[in-house]
Amino acid sequence: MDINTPNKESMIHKEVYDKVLPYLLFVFIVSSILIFETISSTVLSFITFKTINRIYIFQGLLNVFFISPFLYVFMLRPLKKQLQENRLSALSFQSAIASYISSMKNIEEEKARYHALLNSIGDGVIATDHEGNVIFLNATAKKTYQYHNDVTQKALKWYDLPVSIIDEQDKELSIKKHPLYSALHKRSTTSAAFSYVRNDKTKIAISAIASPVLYNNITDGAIMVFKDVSKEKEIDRMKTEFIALASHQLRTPLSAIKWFSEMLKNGDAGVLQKQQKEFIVNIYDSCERMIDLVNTLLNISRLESGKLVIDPKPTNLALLIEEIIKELHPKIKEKRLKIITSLHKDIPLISIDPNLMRQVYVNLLTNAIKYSHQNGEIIVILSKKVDQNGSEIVSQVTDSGLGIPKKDQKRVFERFFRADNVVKLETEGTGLGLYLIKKIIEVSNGNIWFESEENNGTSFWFSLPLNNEI
Amino acid sequence: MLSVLVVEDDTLLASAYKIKLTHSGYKVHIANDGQMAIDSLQKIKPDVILLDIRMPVKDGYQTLKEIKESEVYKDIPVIISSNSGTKENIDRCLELGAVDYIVKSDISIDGLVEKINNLLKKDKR
Repeated sequence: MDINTPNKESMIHKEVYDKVLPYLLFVFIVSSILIFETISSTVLSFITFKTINRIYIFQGLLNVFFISPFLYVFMLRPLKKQLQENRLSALSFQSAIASYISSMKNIEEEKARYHALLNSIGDGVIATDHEGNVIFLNATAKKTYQYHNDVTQKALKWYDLPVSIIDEQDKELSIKKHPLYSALHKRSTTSAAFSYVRNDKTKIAISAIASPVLYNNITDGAIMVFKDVSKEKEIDRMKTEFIALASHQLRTPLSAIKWFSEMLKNGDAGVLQKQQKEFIVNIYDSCERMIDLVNTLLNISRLESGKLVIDPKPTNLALLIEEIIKELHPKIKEKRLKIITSLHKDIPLISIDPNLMRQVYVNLLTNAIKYSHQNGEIIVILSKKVDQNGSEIVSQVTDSGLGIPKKDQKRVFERFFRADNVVKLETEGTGLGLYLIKKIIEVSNGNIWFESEENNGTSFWFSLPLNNEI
Repeated sequence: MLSVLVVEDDTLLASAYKIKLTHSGYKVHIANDGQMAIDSLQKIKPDVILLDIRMPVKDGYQTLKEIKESEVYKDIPVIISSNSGTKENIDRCLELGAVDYIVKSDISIDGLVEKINNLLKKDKR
């Protein structure tokens, strides 16, 4: 800001000021001369008629002479100061206006740039104010909604856009489940998958995420970004169909191997020699492993594509555990293991999918058996826990076997992960079991955790809420 | 002697059924698809039908529906023996009137025979 920049107004003041001062100076000089003249004339002629006039003139001149400095101090100088100040404030006002105008220009430019940015986003963007009125629709959103009016013209609520919203079961999505609703009313960032049905009856599969816009910690509005996922959905559907088809195709020859080796093993085609029986048992066991793998892959693919149908039924967990232990008896006997169960008597029937629970226990128990040493001990506990948050079932499976090395512990739930110490022992095992059961527990609103020390055994726990609201 | 109609398009599995069930004392008839099954039923009346789902010409659902709609053989118990174990399939078959649903790769052939034995024992009572 250049405070010395002259402008018209201050120049006019300067001119006036410049004119007044010389005038006063002139007055001062003239009066001084006249005073001198008067004094000298007076000296020459004593009091005559003219003297009275001269005295009047002298008085007048004296007045002027003495008033001039006062005039100067009390009028000119303040005026000068005032003029200077005016000039300064005029200058600063002028530059304030200049910088304001340039800021406004910058803001407009930035606004236009951000507008262009938002508009260029390939996904749809919709922004609302805190009352839910749409304040912005980017180009993709306008195209999706087939709505090309200016959104700032009249108040348009986000739920009044010309599309109907349906959920994955083809039913109308309730407003409370919409991510924009959560953003505006619950201040939370949520994502959802749904479909838009437009006025021309076309349907688009959408994946959206909405978050609140916070300004000074108050919800100032909400913004949602959504994308057309029709292609991804199609690919996903093809993937799931492929896995289902492949699994079924694989299961047919596996069934044939299973049954024929079973019949051979049982002597249905004649008595076998020791080695013949050994070989056939190996074939049978390998086939069982493959069947397990196919089942696990199928379950994982269903879980991941969200297609696993959870069929909760009132289930007696204690009974289920005992059944599974009985089924695993041959393997338990083989290693001469001791199984200790502590299954709490008054555990109520819990509403869970028995098939999924069966997989959890089969997995945990098979692992415990596999990784136990000869003559080892396996403990299975089922108990009920009640606290202020509600009641839950806690189940524990403990073995005294190989254990999980500390360095591998954070990876045990990873898909296909197997710790080094078990891979060295036997190459069996897919590394999928724990991954699958963790997903099953989580989808049942439970938790799974473990403690382990290498060569000192492992304990797995999982909890399931007793008042299961799915 | 009790008889079983096995409806299965895979020849290996069909022969496994035949060997085992004959060994267990049953008379075994084999049909390789749904239409053959319906045709067989014109000539024989089995005590139980073992029905696969994925078959050419006529699949298991259609066959099951037709069996249950016929006056002559709607009372013959049908056990679905399939390799698909999805809840939708199981529910659909049970709704159409099947008495049981088995996933082939999850059951031993001895177990399957045991199921048939138990079913027919119950019926006898």
